[in-house]
Amino acid sequence: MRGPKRVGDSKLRWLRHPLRVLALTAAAMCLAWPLATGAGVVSAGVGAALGVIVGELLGQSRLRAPVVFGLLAVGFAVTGFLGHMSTHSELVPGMVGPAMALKVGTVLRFGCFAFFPLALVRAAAARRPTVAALELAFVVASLTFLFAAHRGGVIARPLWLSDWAWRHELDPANVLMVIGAAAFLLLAAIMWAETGKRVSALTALALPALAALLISLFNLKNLPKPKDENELGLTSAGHGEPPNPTPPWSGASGGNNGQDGGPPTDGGGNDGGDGGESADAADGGDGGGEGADASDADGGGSGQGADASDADGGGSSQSTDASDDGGGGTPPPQPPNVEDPQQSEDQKQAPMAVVILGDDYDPPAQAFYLRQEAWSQFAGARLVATTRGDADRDVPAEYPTRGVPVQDAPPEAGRKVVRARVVMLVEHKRPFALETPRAMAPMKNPNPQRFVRAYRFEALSQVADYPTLVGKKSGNPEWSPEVRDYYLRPPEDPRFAELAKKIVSGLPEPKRKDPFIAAVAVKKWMDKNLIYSTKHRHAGVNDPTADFLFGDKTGYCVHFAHSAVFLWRSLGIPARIGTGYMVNAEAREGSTVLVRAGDAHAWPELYLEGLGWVVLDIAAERNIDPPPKPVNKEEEKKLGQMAREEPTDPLENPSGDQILQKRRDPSRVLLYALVALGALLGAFYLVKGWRRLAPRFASRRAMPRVGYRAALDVLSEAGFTRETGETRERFARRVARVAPAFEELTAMHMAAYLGDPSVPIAERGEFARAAWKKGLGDLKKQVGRAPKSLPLFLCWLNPVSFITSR
Amino acid sequence: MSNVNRTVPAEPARPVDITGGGEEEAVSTKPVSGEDGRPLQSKYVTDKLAPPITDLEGAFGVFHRIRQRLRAAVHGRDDVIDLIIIAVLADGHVLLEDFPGSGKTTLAKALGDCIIDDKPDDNIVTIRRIQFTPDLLPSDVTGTTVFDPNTNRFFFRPGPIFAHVVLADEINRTSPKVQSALLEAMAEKQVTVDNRTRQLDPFFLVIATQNPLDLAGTFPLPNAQLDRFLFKIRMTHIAPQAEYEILKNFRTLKASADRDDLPRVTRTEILDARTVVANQIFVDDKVHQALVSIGQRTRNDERILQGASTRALVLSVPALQARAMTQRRNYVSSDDIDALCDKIFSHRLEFAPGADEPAKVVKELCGQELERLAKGSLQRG
Repeated sequence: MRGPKRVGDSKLRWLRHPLRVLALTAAAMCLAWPLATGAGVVSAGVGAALGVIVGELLGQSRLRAPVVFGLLAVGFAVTGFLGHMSTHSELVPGMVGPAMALKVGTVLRFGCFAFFPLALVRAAAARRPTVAALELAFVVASLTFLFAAHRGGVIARPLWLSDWAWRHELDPANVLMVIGAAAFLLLAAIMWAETGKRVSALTALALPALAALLISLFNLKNLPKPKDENELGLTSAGHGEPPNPTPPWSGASGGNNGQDGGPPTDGGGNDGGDGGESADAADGGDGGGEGADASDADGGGSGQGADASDADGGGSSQSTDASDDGGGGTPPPQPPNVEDPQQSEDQKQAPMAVVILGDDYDPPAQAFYLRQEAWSQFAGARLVATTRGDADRDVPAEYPTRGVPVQDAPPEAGRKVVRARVVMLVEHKRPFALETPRAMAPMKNPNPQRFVRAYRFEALSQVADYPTLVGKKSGNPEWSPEVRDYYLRPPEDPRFAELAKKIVSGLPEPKRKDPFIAAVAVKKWMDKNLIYSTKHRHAGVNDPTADFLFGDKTGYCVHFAHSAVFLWRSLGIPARIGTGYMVNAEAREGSTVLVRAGDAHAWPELYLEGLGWVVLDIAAERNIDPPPKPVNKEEEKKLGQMAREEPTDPLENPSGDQILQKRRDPSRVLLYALVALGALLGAFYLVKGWRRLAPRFASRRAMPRVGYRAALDVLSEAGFTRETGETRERFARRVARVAPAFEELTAMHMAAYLGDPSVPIAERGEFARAAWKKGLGDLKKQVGRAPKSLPLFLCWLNPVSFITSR
Repeated sequence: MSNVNRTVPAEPARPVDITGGGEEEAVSTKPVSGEDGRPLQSKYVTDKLAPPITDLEGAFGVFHRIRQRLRAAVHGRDDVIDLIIIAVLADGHVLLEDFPGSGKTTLAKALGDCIIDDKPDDNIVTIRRIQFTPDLLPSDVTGTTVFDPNTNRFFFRPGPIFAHVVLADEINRTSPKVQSALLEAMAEKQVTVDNRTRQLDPFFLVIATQNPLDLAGTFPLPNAQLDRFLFKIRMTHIAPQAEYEILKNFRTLKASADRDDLPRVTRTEILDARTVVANQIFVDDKVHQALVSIGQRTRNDERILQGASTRALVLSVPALQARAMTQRRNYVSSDDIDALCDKIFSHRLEFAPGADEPAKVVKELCGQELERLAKGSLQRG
């Protein structure tokens, strides 16, 4: 006669030894990592593993506790002394040389510090299981120590982890969550094993599946996604607010400093940080990326100090290009190229996007103006993006998900249809297009490894030469008076109007009334009298534009654009600022126009009737900045070729969900897998739930079958399943120690199955619903109270428990 | 003790006239008593009939009383005790495969002791033990006709087989001739001596034993005879704890062996219980089918040369019923098959050389069938 199987025995219980060794080894290595070199870390790991094994053996041996502890203490002292002597005496270095001696000392010290304490704790825990809590505490402490930089929810910390993640194009938040889940699972597994709780392997598998599902849900729903300016650093986590190529101005995108004209340095810091990333992304992840990322985290945390490391990042990534073309630079052509003062030379070279022109187009301004945003709303001392629904509707704010016409497209007179494709290397918040787009459509990404996004646009670009614009009226007669007033809103400072009048007064009387001539007069005056410099930021003053125009007259594109618009508006000419990129016409290579970070620009525009918004950029004659590097034609050609390639990935569906578009291939496959997993889990839980609830709706006849099935499910969740060939009664006896109610349920079930069917069902007690209800309730209570089972809610998580219940 | 029980009853049986009146059975009309007025056959004899047993509760009471007494007498053998009572109630015989000194006699004696003979005038005692040896003769078992010079007549002197419980010790040590003498008695409950057939009591139980190891000079039982045993129970040494208790309480145990505070059962009650079990325990068709399938499996299995006989299947049904009764059920469940299958089948099958342990093979074959039964219970309809 075989003894009855012990109920509390867990099939996974043997796992606790390898698990413990694994966890403690990893913990020791985690602790040693920041402190030691490679040999030391390995030594700590090996020492920990051996310590656990030796400790377990000692604990199970018959040696008395003081003997064990004494042995370990003596061993600790001896090994520690040897480690000390290997570096502090002359004997060992004399024998093996100083380098070797140092190594030996490290190995001995770390190995000894890992081995003996762990062996001691293990030996104690083998005799008194509660001591095992010390081991778990050690694991937790070392893990916490390793990820201490992550405290406060800073996703980008620790840096070594986020760097690694960025380099592999992973979201550090996900990586951290995975690590957390893994650590939780490991600890839970050890605890289960140590306490001898029963847990079925399937439950253990279901937990990570659920965790993965949760993580992916968080990602899909963007629940933890922070705001743009959030310090968590999640911004660049692939949800892409990221690089903001708009010209530098305080809070360029957010407009947070609108009223006081806040210090541009701060905004510049942010922009710079973003720029650093753009360089990294474009760079495709070589060594340069690390520095830039690290500094991004810094920038997120403290606001300043990003600049220097940004430069580093960019520097390493682009240095070869720079040296190739170094010194071959030609003076910057007209109109002035206004750079972001926060960017280094190399930073400016970072490619942002490639525009492939489908039609030949020669802009009269000798430059391609790629407008991304328009600032027309007067907000204190500066202009910001409009909040009106009826203004600036010709600037698309969102990426197209299908072919859509742009509202308020300009009239066709004096303009030419230009079709072009845009392929972005860096994620942008908004699309940009050659002024002025008529329609936009999505496009297949020709190379998802290299580019993040592609779209097409069809623009009506100005071909009319500037002289032909003379005589046109300003403004659009279709505008409502409010919109016209809106575009004419001048600054409060009266000096602008005075200056404008003074400039125009030099014109002959009839020409003074012509808006375009007046505008050109202002432009000419500004060309002549103002000085271009990215060094003069006019930071920290209430009105940077006034400070620029009536002060040292030195500034850059944003100041120029604001000044021009304010002066034009003072003369009654509707004007606004366009921002985006400006690329010189000569910089194009065939039909390819390479847009670099340094091409970011802001320019003034005015509205002429019958023509729409016309760019009239200011070109200062005096430029005290060094000339920018010319475009690297080879790179331009190469990128243009790649941008023209046909997409190779059939999965790439440009009209699909934006989330899908942003994801790279492996993660998308993962996403599908997770969705499938979620569906599967859902189906399982449905089946499970139904089987559990079915007894409430079962008829008297079906009650023994349905009720017994539910009882089996309850037991299966708690880890009790009938073995093949085991009779139901025998299984019930096995379980009876934990759940006595189950024996009664089994008897009722079998009586209904094999009992005399000639007796009417109404007379047979085994069909009584009340008895089943009571039995099932008792069973649940007993299983929940069982000394060695998990809490019921954890049991419930197992989605496939009903498969094993037989 | 063994000498006494070997061939002749402890006390001389009353002579029976073998020529008288064509009466086949040796039945006396007067109460049987010795010189001192004590009953001859058994210490516990009654003329009064206990109230008849008509329901399962009563049958369980019989089972319970026997079990209580056996458990008090024999320690650490609860499983064997249950099986023997099941055999009693299923009208089957038991073959114990056991080592010497493991409590067989104690068990058999306790069984005989707990039965009250309520038909004392039929010349059949409650228990006899026969020690089988190579020189034993059939007439030593069945009884023989003896010439009485006083009356100048032959009279039949019944052998030890005329008992309710017969303990056939070391049955494989005797010659096939003697073994076959048991055959008829076990199968037909009758004995033929000198071409006259004498009926045995309907309550006739053989508990045979054989030593599993010491096979030198033995005559292994032929399959045909093995088939007549309902159970072959392979006993093992009892658990150390039980052994320890026996050693500790040896004296009190011996004293309590014939305790009078525990109730006994009468022969009629057992016969009634047999009827009740056979009639009132429901055997579902699914159980019948499972038994047939098990039989089929034993015949189709490669490891088995000779499968289970139909008689084995037929005999198994009352055993299953009795076992169901002991579990206080009124239907036969798959658990009964599980509990009894290896005891019922493994000694009846002829295994191919190199096959696994018989009990293991039988358990495996039955397990497949039991799994089907178990799965069926959750299916609709």
